[in-house]
Amino acid sequence: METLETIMTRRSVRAYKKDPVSKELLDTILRAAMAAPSGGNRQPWAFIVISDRRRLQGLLSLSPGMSSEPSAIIAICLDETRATKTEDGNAESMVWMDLGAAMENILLAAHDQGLGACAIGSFHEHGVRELLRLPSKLKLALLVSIGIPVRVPTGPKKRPPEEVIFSEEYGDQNGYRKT
Amino acid sequence: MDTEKLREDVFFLIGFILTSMQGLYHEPAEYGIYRLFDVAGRLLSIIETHGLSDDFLRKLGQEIEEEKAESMDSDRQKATISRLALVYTAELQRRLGIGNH
Repeated sequence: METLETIMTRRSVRAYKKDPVSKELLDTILRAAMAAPSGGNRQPWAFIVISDRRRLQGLLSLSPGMSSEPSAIIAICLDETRATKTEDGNAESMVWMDLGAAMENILLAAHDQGLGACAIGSFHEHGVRELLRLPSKLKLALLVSIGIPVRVPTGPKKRPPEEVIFSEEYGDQNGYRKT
Repeated sequence: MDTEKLREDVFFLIGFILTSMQGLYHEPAEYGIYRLFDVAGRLLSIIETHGLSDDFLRKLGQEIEEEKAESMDSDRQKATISRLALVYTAELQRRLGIGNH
């Protein structure tokens, strides 16, 4: 699939068939995640892959944002030991963008491989941490569910370019307004 | 009926409800609608799995699952919920033996 086509046709897939996703496909997706850009090449991430059925069921019960059982889940974590810190000791905002880039690569790679995926931000953090036995150095950022789509959803409404793209300075839509 | 499996399905459902409740303290208000919609689908799925459903509930569950599989669109979901509530009301009247059906 061509890159732009992959980007433009990707959808958040929330309903999956019961078929498993092969380890080879998951490996491809994880390589894509690790290829994401990161500030200072710090690669401040850790990815936990969950494909055991019992553990998936447990995660599903702790993650209200996940509406059906996927074949696999990738938990995206921030490794605080690799994050640049602000003066008050918190991770700089840039590292969260690094994780966002990794997440997008996961979603696009899954779509490219004929799979469906959805980024999940609604989960019970303490419960999921316990289930995944995360050490204190890892902050849980997102879960990504992956599986074979039951069907691909229609595209969601997007804000028009006139509302979000400006020419040269904020508020000036010349050049982007439809003629 | 597999009582042990039913107990486990309900156990998982309770986890979903509890963590949904906790999340809704800080999540956007419209997520509450998604969670209620989702729990209706999960409940119908459980009774279907255990052979406790009927034609009406099975069809209702299928429609909910189809909506859940779609991209998030509050206008479309609102229309679906309104329609399903009317369908439910008609079925309610039929089951109670009242009204026009």
